Amino acid sequence: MNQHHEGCTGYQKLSENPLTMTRRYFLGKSAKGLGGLALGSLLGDQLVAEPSAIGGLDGFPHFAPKAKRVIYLFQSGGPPQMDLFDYKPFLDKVHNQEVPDSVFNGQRLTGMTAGQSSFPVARSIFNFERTGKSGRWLNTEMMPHLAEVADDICLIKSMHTEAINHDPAITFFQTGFQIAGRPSVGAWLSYGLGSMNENLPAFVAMTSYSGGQPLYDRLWGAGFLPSKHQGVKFGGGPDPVLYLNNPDGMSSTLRRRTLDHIAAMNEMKFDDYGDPEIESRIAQYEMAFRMQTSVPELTDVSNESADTFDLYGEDARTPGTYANNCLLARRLSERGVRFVQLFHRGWDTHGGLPQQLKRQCQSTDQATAGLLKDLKRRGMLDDTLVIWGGEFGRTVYNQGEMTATNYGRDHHPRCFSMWLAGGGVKGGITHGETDDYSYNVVKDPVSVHDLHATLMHLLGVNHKKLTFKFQGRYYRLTDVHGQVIKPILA
Amino acid sequence: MSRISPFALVSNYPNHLAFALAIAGLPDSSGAADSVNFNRDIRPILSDKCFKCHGPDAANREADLRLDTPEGVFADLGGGYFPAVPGKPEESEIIWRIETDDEEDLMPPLKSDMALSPLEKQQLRTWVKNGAAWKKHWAFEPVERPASPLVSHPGWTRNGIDAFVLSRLDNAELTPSPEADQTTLIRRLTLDLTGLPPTPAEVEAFLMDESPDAYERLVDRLLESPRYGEAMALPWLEAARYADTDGYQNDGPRSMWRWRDWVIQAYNQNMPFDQFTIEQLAGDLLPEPTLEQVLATGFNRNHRYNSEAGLVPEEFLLENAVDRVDTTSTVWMGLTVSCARCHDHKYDPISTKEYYQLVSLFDNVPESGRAVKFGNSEPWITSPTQKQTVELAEFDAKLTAVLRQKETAQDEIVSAIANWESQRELELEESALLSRGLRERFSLSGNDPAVEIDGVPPVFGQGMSEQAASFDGRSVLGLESSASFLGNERFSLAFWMKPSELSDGVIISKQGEDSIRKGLSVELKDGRLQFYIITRWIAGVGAIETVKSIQEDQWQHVTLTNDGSLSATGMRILLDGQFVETRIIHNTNSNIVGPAKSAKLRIGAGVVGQGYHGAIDEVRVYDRTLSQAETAVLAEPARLIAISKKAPATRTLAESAKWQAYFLENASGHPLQELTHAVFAARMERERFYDALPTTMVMREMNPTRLTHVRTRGVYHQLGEAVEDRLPAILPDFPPGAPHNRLGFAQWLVSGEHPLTSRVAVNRYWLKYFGRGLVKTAEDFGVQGDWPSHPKLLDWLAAEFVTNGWDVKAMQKLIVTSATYRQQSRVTPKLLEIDPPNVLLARGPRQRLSAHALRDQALATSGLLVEHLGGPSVSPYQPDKLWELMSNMKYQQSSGEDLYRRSLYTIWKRTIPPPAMALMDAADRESCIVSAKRTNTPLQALTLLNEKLFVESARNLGQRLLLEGGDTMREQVQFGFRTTLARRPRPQELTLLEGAYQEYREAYQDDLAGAEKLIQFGESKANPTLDPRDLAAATAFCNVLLNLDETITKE
Repeated sequence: MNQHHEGCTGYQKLSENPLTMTRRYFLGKSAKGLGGLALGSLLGDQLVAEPSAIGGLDGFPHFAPKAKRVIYLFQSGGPPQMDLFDYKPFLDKVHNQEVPDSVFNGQRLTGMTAGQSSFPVARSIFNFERTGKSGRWLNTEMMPHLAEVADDICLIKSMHTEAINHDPAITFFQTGFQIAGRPSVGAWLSYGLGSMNENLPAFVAMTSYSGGQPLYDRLWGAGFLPSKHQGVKFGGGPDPVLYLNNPDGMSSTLRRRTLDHIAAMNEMKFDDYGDPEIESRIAQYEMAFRMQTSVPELTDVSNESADTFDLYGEDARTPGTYANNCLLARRLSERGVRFVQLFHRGWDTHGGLPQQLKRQCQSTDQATAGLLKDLKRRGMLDDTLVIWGGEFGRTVYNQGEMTATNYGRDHHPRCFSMWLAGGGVKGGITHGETDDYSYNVVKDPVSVHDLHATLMHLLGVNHKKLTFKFQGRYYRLTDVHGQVIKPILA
Repeated sequence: MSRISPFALVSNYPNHLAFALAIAGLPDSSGAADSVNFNRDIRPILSDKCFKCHGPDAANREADLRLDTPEGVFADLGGGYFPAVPGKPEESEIIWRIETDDEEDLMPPLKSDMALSPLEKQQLRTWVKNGAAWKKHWAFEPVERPASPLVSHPGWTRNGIDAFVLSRLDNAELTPSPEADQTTLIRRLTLDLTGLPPTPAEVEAFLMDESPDAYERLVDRLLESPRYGEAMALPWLEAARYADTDGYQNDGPRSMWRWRDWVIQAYNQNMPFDQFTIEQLAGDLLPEPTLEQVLATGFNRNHRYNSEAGLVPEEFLLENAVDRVDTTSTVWMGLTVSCARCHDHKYDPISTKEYYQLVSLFDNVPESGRAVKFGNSEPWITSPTQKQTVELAEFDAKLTAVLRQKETAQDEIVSAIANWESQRELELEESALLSRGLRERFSLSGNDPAVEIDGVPPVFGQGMSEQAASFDGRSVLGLESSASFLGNERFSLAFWMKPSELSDGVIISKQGEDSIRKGLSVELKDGRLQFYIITRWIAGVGAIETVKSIQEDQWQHVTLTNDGSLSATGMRILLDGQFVETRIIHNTNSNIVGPAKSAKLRIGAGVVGQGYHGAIDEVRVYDRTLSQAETAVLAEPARLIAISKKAPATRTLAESAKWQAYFLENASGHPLQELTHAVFAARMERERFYDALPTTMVMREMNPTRLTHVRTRGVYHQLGEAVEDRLPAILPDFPPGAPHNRLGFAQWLVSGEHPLTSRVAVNRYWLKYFGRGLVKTAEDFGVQGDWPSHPKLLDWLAAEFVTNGWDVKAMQKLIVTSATYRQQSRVTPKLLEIDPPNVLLARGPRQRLSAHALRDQALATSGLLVEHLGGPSVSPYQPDKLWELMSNMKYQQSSGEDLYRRSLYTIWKRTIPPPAMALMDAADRESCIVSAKRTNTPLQALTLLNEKLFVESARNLGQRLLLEGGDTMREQVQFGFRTTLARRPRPQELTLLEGAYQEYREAYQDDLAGAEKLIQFGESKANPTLDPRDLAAATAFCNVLLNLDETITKE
C-alpha cells in the first residue's frame, strides 16, 4: 500500500524551492518568520504566495502615502445635512413655503414623496454656532463634542450621489457601483496594499445599533476579488470573530494538541502529495490559533484607562455600541489594521427627525470626537484618515406631518455633507457649497468616485492603477470616473 | 495497482521557471511550436491593448481606426497608410506605431499605462511578417469535431478525451500520472457525482469487485443515485443566483424552492440539456405547457428584486430585464454582454442596440417594478408538489361529492322548504342571512356603536333594510371595527349605496391618518367605483376601478372581494350580485401592513379629500371571499319577510335563491342544513389547502407587449430608439421556423448550430471535476476570455454532447471514465515547477471540497444526515442574532430533522448568507457565478474546528467509534479513519492518531465537567450509556479527523 514515493522524487528536492518550504523549515524560523509566511496568504491564498511580503501587489503603494490607515465611520440611513453641517439661515425665511420649481429643476424624487401634493420647506430647528478658528457653523446643540475638534475636520458640503434609495446608495458608496457584485473599498485596499499585521486581517468591519436600515455582507465583501480580501466582521461579546472560540469543554491546551496532531498528519500528507496548498493549510491553522489569542486581547477594553472612557463616553465599555466600536477602531488601527469601517444605523429620518437626530447624536457625537482626540494625543491622527458620512443627504422639504417642533425629510442625493480628518487632509477647512435650500451643489461638486479616488490617493494609490480583470474587463473601484479632490489635501 | 508510470518516457526537458511561464503559450497538437497563432497570441494583444479605442465601440473609436475586423486592419487609410500589410511589417502602420521611440506617436499612448511588452511587439511583427492571417474569434466559429490526434502511447487512453490530453502532454514532453488507487477513485467519484463520501461498506464492495467493468458500474450506480441530482443542482443554483430572499434592503423572503426541486428532478431524470434549456428559458411559451414546464421558468425570476418604498419602478423593470439577459448570456453563452448596456461592447462585437434587442426578449414580463416585501412578486403560479397535487384532487373530489349530494337533494330541498314554511311561525332575521365568515355587520339604522369624527354626523332616513345613513360630502360616521383588510388575506366588503350625485369622494374607508394611508378605501372617481388596498401611499397600492360609471340616485348593491394574493389581480368588484368589468389602476402593493386596530371604519368619508354624497346601508365585512352566487343573495332587495308572504310560485328566481339560502343556513337541526354545512366546509377546506400551497415566481409574456428602447448610457429613463427581438449579428440567426421571442431564443441556443452553447456547457462540467475549465474563464468565452488549454478537446466534447442528444449523464460518464480523470493527484516537484495550476492535466484533480460538500460530509460520516429529496428550505444552526444585528429580521432556527438536511436546502438570505458557507467560498447568490472560488484562510480553520454543526458531527462520529468501531482504541481509530477518508491509515498515521486519541482520553479522564460540556453540542443527544469522558475524547479525536487536509480535500 505504502509505495507512494515511487511516483514522487521526494520532498528534499522540493524544499529547495522557496515557494514550497516545509513546515519543518519554517518552524525553524522565528515566530516572526512564521507569521510572515502565513501572511503570504493571510485569510487565504492559492498555490503561490503573493509577491509582497505583506500580501499587497508589486509596486504598491505608487507613491509615498500620507495616511497609513483609514477609519471610516459610516452613518447609515442618510444624515440630514442642513440639520448638522450645512447651515442655512435662509430657510427660516421660507419656512413652510413651497420649494420653488427652479430649485427642483425637474429632478427625480423618491417614490415615497413623489406623490406628495405639497413640498413645504422645513427649516432646521437646531442651534448653530460658529466653531473653531475658521468660524465654521455647526449644530453645536447636537454635536457639542465635535465642535471641540472643529479645526481638525475638513468638511465637504458638496457631496452628491447617483442613487436615491438606501440599498443602491450604500452599495454605490461601498463598491463604486449601485448593483451588487463588486468589491468593497476595504477589499480593494487589502488587495492592493496588503496587511500590516501578522495576526489580524487587513480590513475589519463593525456594526452598531439594531434598528433602522439594514446592512448587508456585500458592504464589506470582496466581490470578484479573492475572498480573503473581504472585511472580517468583528462584533462585541464573547465571540468577536465568528467561530473564534473553542467549543465549551475543549481547553485551549487541548486545542493546541489537536492542532499539533492535525499539523503532523498534514505534514505527512504534504510529504506524500507535495501540494503547496497543504502547507498553506498548515499555516492557516496556525494563524487561526494565534487569532484565538490576539483577538480577545484586542476586543477586551477593560484595561483602558479612565481618561479613555472620559473621551469616548461610558458607552465605550459596552460591546456592540458605537462608542465601543470607535474605541476598538483605535485599537485595531494601533495594531496595524489598514482599513477599519464602522457602520452605525438609524439615520433614516423620514419623520420625527428632531427626536431621532437627538438620539443618534447622543449615541455617536462624543465617541466620534473622542476618537479624533484619542488619535491625536497618541500621535496617530497624522497618518490615520478618518471619514464620517452616510449614503446620501435629506430633502429640504418636509415629509409627513410638520409642526413647530417636528418634521421629517426624504432621501436626497443631490447634495449632502461629509467630513474627513487626519492623514493628509487639511483640517479646519470647508470644501464646496450648496444653494440656499441645501438642494443643489453650486460649487466644487464631489462625487462618490472622487471621494474614493481621494481616499486611495491619500494611501499612496493611483486609483486608475488598482485594477482587476474580471469577465474580460479591467475593473477598478472608481470605474471610469474619479478625480482626486486636490484642494483638501494638506 | 501499480503506481509506476504507465509507460516509460525519459524527459530531459530543461527544468527552469521560464518554461512554467511560457506554458500558457505552449502550442497544442495543432501546430508547430514557433508559429504565431492569431486567435491564441495576436487577438488577445489587440483586444487587451487596442480595442478600447480601436474596437467595436463606435462611439468611442479613435482616429476612425478599427482593429477588431479584417476590414479595419487591412483598410487603406489614404496617403499610403495601411494599418497592416501582410508580409510587410515595415509598411504596416501598427508595427511602426508600437515600435517607435517618438512618445507622441507611440501606441498604446504612454498615458494609457498599457505599454506592450517586448514579446508582444515581437509577436505582432512576426504575425504581420508571416502574412497577417486573420480569423474570426475562435468561440464564434462553428464547432467542428476534430479528429483524434496521434499520440505516443495509445494504450494509455481510455476514451476520446485522453488522446487530446496526451497529445498536449507529448508536446510538452510530460507523461501522465499513474492511475489513482481504488479507494482514492471511489472517494473522488462519489464526492464528485453525489456530493457525499462513500461509506466503508461501499468502498469494500468496490475493492472486492474484480470484474473488468467494476469502475464503469460504480459510475452507473452513482449516476442513478438521487443524490446525483442534488450534487449537479448546486453549481446550477449558484449560476442561477437562486436564493430564498429578494436581496435588497430588508431582504425579505420569497419562495422559489419548487424551482430548485425542478432542477434536482431534471438532473435525476437525465433531462437532455436542450430540453433543460428550453423549459427554463421559455417553458411558459410551449404549447399547452405543463405546470412543471412553467415552473422551470423560475430560472429567470431568481434575480434580486428591490422592494424599497422610494424606488422608481421603471428603474427596476430595467434592472430585472438586464439581470436576466446578463445571467442567461453568461450561463449559456459565456458572454459578458452587460458591457454593451451603456456603450457598444469594447471587446466583443456586440453593439448597444444588439444588447437592448436581447433585453427586449426578457423585458416583457407583467411585473410592477417593485418587489413584494414578504413573499413572491408577480407573476407567480401556485405550484403544488406531486403529492400536493394528489391531495388537492382529493379535496376537489370531496367537494364534488357533497355538491352532487346537494344537487340530488334539490327536489327534497324544495319540498322541505315548503314544509318548513307551512309548519311553523317563522322568525325571519335578515342579519342571519349569509352569516358564515361574517365578521362585522353595520345596519346603519342609527343604532350602531358610532364614534365621533369631525363632528358632522350623517342623517338617517329610509334605507334598504330599515334605515340608511345619508351623507352630504362633509358628514362621516365613524365605527369601531377590528377588520384589518390585509392584501394577503381573503376578505369581502358588501354594502348598499345610493349616490345622490356622482362627485369624486370616498365612500367607505379604514385607513391610518398619516400620509402613508395604510388600509382600505372605496371611492368614487369620475363616476366610477374604485377599490383600494394601500400599504404605503403612493408607492404601495393595489387598486381597481369599474370600467363603466355607476348609477346615480339609485340603490345598488356593492361587493368588493380580495383573494389574498396581495395583487390587484385578486381584487374584484360585484354590482348587484354580478361581476363587473374592472381595470387595474395600481398594482404595486409590496407589503403586508394594514390600518391600526384603533383606526375607525369611516362611512361616507376618508382620511383625506372629499366625502361621499348619498345614502349607504347594511355594511358587511367577511373574512372570506364571497362567491358570485352569495353576493347575489345579498344583493336581492326583497326582504325575507316580504318573500315569505309571496306564494312560492310567484317568487322570482333571485327571491327563491335568497329564501333557499336562508333556509339552508337556518333550518336548525334539519338534515339538509348539515348537508349545506358539509358543502361549505368542503369548500373552505379546499380553499385553505389551496391557499397554503407553495407558489413560484415564473416568466410570463405581457399582452400587449412592452416596447423596449435603447437606454442612453444605460440609464433607465434616457430612452433611445425602440428595438425588436433580434439576435447579435456575430452569431447565427434564429433557426428556421423558430418564433422571434424568448422561445425562439431558447431554441436558437440549443439548435446545435450555436457556436457557444455546447462549448460553454461542457467546459463547466469539466470545471466541476477538475477545478478549472478547459477555458479558464468559464464566464467569458469572448475576445477577452482565456484561450482554451485544449481547444480541440473542448470542441470534441462539445460536438460529442450535441451528437449524443445533449445527454447530460452520458457526458458526466465520459469525463469521469477517462484516463485523464483517473490519474492520481500527487504534485511531483517537476509538475509543481512546470505546471502548478495543472493546466496540462498531467495529474488528477486535487481540490478542497465545496462549502456544501464539507458540511454534508460531516453530516454523512457522523450519521446525522437526514435525506429527503427536495422541499422547502430549512434553517440550521447560525450564530446568535446574526440576522437581527444587521437587518430587521429574526432567524427562526429549525429543529429536529431539518437541522441535518443536505446543505443544498439551507435557507439562503442573500444579504447575510449562511456564514459558515460564505467563509468556505460558496457563491453569494447576488448575481450569476459560474466558477467557484477556493481559498484557504484561518477563518475557515476556525469554522471547521469550532462551528456548532461540525462539533456536533465530531461527537456523533465519536459516538459511532465507541459503539460500532470495535473494542480497542486502535480499532476505533481505524473505523473513524475509514469512515472519513475511505482508505485505511498507514502505520505511521495509525501510530500518530492512536497516540492523539490516547492523549485526549487522558486529558478528559480528570475533566468530567469539561467532557459533559463538549458532548452537549447541538440538538442531538449524547448516548447516555456512554461514559461522557470517553465520548468527549472520541469527539476531540473526530474533530481532528474532520479537519485533516485530506478529509476536506477531494484527492
